[in-house]
Amino acid sequence: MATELAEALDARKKRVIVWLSGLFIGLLLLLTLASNTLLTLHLPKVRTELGREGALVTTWRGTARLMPRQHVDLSNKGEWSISEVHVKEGDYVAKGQTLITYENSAAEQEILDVQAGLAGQRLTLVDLQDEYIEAVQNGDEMQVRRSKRELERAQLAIDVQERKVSTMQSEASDRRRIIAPFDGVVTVVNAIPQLPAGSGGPDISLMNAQQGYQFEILIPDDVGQKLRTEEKMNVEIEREGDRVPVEGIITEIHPMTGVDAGASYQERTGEEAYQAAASRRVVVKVQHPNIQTNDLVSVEITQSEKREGGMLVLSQAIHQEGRNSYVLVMEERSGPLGNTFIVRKAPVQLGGTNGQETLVLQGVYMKDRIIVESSEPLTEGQRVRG
Amino acid sequence: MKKKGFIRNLSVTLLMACIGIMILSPIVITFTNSFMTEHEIQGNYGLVGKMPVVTQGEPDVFVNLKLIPDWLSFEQYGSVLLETPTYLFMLWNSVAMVVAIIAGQTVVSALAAYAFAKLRFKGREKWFRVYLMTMLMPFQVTLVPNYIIADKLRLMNTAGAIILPGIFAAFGVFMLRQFMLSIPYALVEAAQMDGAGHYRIFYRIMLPLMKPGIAALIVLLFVDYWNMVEQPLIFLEDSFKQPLSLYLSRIHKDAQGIGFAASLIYMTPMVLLFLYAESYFIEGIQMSGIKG
Amino acid sequence: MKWNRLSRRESMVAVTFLLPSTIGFALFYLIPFGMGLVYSVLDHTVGGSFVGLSNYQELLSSGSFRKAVSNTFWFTAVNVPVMLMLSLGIALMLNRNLYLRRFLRMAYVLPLVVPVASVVMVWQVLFDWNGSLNAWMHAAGLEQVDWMKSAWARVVVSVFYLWKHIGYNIILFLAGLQSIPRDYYETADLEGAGKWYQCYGITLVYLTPMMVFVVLMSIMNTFKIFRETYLIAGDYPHDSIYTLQHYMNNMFLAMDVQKLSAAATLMVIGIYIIVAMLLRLEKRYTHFME
Repeated sequence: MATELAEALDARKKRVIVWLSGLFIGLLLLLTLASNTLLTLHLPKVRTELGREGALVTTWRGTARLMPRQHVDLSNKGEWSISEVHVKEGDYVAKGQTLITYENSAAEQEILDVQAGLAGQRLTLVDLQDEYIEAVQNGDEMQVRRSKRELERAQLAIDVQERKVSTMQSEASDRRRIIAPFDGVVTVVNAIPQLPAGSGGPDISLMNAQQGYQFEILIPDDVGQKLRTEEKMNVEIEREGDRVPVEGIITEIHPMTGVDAGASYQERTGEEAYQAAASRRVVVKVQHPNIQTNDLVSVEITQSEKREGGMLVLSQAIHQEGRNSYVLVMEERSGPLGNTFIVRKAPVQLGGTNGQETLVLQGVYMKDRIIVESSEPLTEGQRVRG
Repeated sequence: MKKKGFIRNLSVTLLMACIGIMILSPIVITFTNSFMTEHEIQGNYGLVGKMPVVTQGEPDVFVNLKLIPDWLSFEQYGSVLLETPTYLFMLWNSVAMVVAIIAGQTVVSALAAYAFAKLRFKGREKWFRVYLMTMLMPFQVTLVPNYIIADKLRLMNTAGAIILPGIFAAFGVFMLRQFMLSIPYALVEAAQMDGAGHYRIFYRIMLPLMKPGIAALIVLLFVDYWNMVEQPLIFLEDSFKQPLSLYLSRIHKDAQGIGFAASLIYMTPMVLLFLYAESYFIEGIQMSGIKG
Repeated sequence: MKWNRLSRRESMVAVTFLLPSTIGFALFYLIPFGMGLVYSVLDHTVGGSFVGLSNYQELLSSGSFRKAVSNTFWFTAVNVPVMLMLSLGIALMLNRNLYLRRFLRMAYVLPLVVPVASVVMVWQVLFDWNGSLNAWMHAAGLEQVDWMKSAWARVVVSVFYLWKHIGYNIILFLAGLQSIPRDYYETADLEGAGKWYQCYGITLVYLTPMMVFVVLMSIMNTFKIFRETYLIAGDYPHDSIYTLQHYMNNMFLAMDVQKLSAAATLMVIGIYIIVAMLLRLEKRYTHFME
């Protein structure tokens, strides 16, 4: 009887304990789920991306202005004033075509003066002939010889004067006009009728149509390393809003170390300002019927770099610590309440970058989830929410 | 005669009760103090751990150990359970590790114990003595080699570094062997007569008979591993992997205000288990004491 | 012949039963132990060469090691007898037909299941310099004692040790007491033996095997006092409670593998000697009884 009672009591006690335990465990579970959710909400939010396999495509853009390959300035060499301009800027001209005519009244006057002097000398010559004839008739030996010498001297003076007239005349006809030395395009006309020549620089500029255009551009070494002369280069020329793809040929490459690459009109895409440590000046020849001097040329050089085992990572995911680079990787760890995410620091070895993406040679793997953005600064070992 | 015995009995009972209350007092204090507000805890025990120099001149400043809280409050529980997610996280770490160890060790050692208790083979006693010796070693004795092995097996800083050695500890083998020795060998022989193999005997006869022994083992292992401090201290670096015991060892420095409630929640499963399976627990200890 | 074959087959079965346990046991206990032995006679962990016993020499000449050994020794030498007497006394009293017996037994056993870490707070409140024990002593007109930072720390740890482990021994003694047949006492009563003789002549004699076991377990538990000390005193306890386990732990943290291995080996040898001695003692005693 007593043992039965004790057993009954014992069984009751055990039931109570079981009940209490169930309550305890249930409560803890509930709270754990709730508080774990709370904890998770407090965690910094991160955005991750996987590394991408592929070649690093580096794109470099630069612009330049087109320049004619051959360019000639023509001017009147004398102090002539312009009488008429036969062409205007942009005109195509053929070789030998007259471009500008000039006039110079003083020069013409001088020719006339010289010619008049010449006529006088000729008259004097006739006088001397007469004198000579008279002397011969007189039989005056001395007189004859004297007259003959006078006659020859006068003849010489006339010859000199005649040559002078002819050069003056040819000079005058030369300066009277400028003709095109080759087929080409008029680029600049400075000449204005009725004004003296050379008052505002060269009177007229011509470019050679046969030779085409060229432009010069400074290309940083790391991009331009693979460029060679005689190689083709695709460029685009902007014309009145259109972009005309044109093929250019590299004619010259000059290394320019340590020169500030006149980066005023060359800009590297991406955030980091380009530092002209070493660059090269590249001259590219372009031929196309529809282009003109000063047209804007844009050059785009794409280079793809691929390394075995390397992968591409967004540049914003890469952090610096002194000279070392690292990325933060989100690791999944299984815990008693599902999986948790932990930040791990992975030191990496970097290859090149194109501003947006960076080639990572070592340190992370394809399956690593690399943190590219986070709601707050992260430290290693921190829990985050993915 | 009878009356004299009664008085003597009563006085002994009183004496024993006094000692018992002293023994229980830390637990009782923890229990009652867990219902104080954090503010009250700070007020009473804030001086703990302060430099003695501070009070050298005026030794009247002491902590105020109080049994009954001024105000019955669940503030500490609220803080522990709602605002300290790490606590619950580590609690489940403890649970996960303990459960894994118990499950593993019970299975592994039941098999081994059968061999040691009921099978005859050469070197049985010697081999068993080797098991016994390791059971007596402090954990530190094999600290370095254990560390190296855990490192080789890539277990460092994972729960595996705690669980695997736990599974293969010698204690379960010892306990269950002791228990199995009390099962008469005649049972095995009788089954063999009926043509049963050892696997069948183990599964059909021994396991059902071993239930009390296994229950005792489970209780003892639970107590032992719920308490563990040294192994996680060495093998687990990340705090979010550590069991609750390590958290509590820091709590009096980090968060004194919630210390009592945190302690109480930590000991509750143990106390409940003990109350439920007291007889198994006591039998288990007695079993380990029987000379085998 | 037939038996031989049968036993060989049984050996095979035994191997399959033992296999899972043995693999793990070897991996996590035996191999580490062997490695520790080897490390203790090498000068480097990796690629070391044999240096004989020089590690041991160095170890024995180190002051902190000797300190740790003597602390451990004294801790054991004092606490094991105290523990034995206390637990035996309590067990004897509990063995009577007391009121509240179950409750009392539960009270004594409960510390065994309560995690050490969860009562550390109370312990600190009690034994701090500003703690309540000092408050009571001050009220009684006594000098304050810095419990944890003086030689008294030994006492504190001892109390903790007794508190924690006494239940275990009480249970064992109770089991031992109950296994003594009642007739013995009845016979002794009839023969007119006094209470004290009964206690000495019957109880203690029949409890001896159990007592050997209790002593053994108590010694082992004093060797494992690190956990309790770590929890109440932290990484750097007072000198007086700096035990072998602390020493080994610190050697580990300092990565002084050689000293640690040598210390571990010495400790294992010590444990082995203690165990062997106790078992021999027990064997002789039981032999004597028969």
